[in-house]
Amino acid sequence: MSAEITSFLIKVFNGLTFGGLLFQIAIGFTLIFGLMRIVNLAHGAFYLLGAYVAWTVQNEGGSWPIAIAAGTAAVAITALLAYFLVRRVKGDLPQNLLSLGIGIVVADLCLWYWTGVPRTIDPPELIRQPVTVAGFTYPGYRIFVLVTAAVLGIGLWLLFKYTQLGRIIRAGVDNRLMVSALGINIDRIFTLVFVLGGILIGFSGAIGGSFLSFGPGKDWEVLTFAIVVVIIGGLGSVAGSAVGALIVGLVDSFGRSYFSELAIFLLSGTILVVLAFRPQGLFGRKEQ
Amino acid sequence: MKKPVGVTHILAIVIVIVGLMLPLFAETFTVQLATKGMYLGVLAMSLILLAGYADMISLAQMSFALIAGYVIGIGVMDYGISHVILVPLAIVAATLLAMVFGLIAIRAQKIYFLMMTLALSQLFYGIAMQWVSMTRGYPGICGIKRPFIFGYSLLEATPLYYLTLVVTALCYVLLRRLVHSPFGLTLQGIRDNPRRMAALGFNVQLHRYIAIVISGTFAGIAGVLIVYFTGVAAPSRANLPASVLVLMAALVGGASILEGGLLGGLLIAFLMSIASQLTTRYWSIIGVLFVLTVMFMPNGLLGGDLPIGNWIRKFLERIAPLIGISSSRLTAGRNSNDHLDWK
Repeated sequence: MSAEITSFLIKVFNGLTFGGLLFQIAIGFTLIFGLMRIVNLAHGAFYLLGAYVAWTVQNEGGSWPIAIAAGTAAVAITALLAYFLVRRVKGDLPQNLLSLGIGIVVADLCLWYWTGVPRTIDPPELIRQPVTVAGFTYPGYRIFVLVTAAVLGIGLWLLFKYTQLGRIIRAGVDNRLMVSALGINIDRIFTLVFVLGGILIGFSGAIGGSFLSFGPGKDWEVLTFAIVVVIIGGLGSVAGSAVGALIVGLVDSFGRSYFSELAIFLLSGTILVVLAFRPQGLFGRKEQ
Repeated sequence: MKKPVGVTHILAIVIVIVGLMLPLFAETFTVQLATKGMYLGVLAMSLILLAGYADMISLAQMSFALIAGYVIGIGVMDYGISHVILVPLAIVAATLLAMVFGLIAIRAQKIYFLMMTLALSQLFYGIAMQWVSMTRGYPGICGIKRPFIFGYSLLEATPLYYLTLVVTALCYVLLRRLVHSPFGLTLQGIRDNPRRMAALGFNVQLHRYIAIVISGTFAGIAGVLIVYFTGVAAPSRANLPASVLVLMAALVGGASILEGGLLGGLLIAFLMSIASQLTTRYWSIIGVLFVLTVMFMPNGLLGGDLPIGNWIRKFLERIAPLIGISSSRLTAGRNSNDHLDWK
């Protein structure tokens, strides 16, 4: 294989795998928004917490899967606690601002406990090994992230399509008042979805902790990525998140190699173009 | 006419007197803190113009301030241009950035607007970080030279304090005139009922857009003050926590009226200072306060949530005639719906 094709392929794969991580990051965000109209601005802080807890468990001698599970569980519990606060205020904006405050506190407490040193989590040898297909070698962990994202996406799709909970959530996205009028405890569903969002972002933090190094400031970066992905893909849409994540991943990968210093202009440009033609995002529905 | 405090006139007099006298009796540290509080107040007012009067909560104000800072920093340090030229240029740059941001963000409303401005400001932050040849990346432009005004160096606390005081007062007066002008009233009409205003023939989106641009101009003015205060233009000045601080100042003071921004700015500046002396976890304190404010005092100190606000108002109404202000003026010039419509 010629060097040019190889380097091009590497850029494509870098974009795709980064997109995989972005999808994992964005999915919980978009899920919570879709049902509850809450823009969870603590999302980035939750990611950070998931990564940190996983890192600690691994450093205390826990195996990698246990570390991932611990990170996920920690964020799920935090999300539950956060939701008890969030549900106490009424209206979209106060809830968003509240989550922003929670995010600040969580991120600051993380900084306190884990200090400011950037860290990474070591994945096990098995998935870290480079994969070689037809003379093309690529880091195994990045492939693993992409596969995980695909599994998560399909799993969620099945959940929404074929389970009772999924049907209720889909109905709730369309009309929450009607769902509660039908005798379904929408409050419980809301709590469940918020925690599910927490589980997803905690998991992606623990997984992403081996993909990108994490430390203070990563929280806002992750939140921004989640927002950019859903702005492009359309808020509240799982398919939109997938497409948005891939677009952002690819733009980022190619931008970095061709424009280096100004890669972020390219990303801004992408948002501009999408918004110019579809203000509600590629898969978003028009809000009235 | 019922709820909010109408303390504007008396508060203004008290603030002006205390403001003018402060450097005479206060320590340098306090003077600097007050300077900080005032530019934070200008930023909060620029946000309140959007949040309180047009129902658009922006997290991008610090980007406008930072670009003004960069213009001055790069102009002075790299090209040796005079401050007389750079200051207007900096404010124009902030206005231009607001024009660009506005074009994108205007398409969104409410939470979407908040998200959009958040994303835009983060992208701006990213540009400031990555465009090293221009912005010098993470450390930014440090040690920016301060000019002299009437022979006083702005490096000194007191001259800078008075400059900030004058500029802040000017910004307040201008913004106040703006929100009570036909434009400002239209804006409030749009906030309360965009459809009706559109039906009445007002160009809703144009008014919103102009509000964003003007808000950016004032944030740019604050940006100039910030550069003179810190001597630094660095990406960290425009990161999300910085924007959150501005939002916090607006919320605590009362995001529905301009005065809330001034009060909030001063309060937050002093609070941050006290908190950071007590503990290194001052961001946690800020975050907890943020949560408590949203939960228990969503309209802020001057928004009429706390009985203390009403006590102050009653007290002022009682003493107002004594110092020659008719108490009816206390309530004059207030809009009928001073509360953020959270729905």
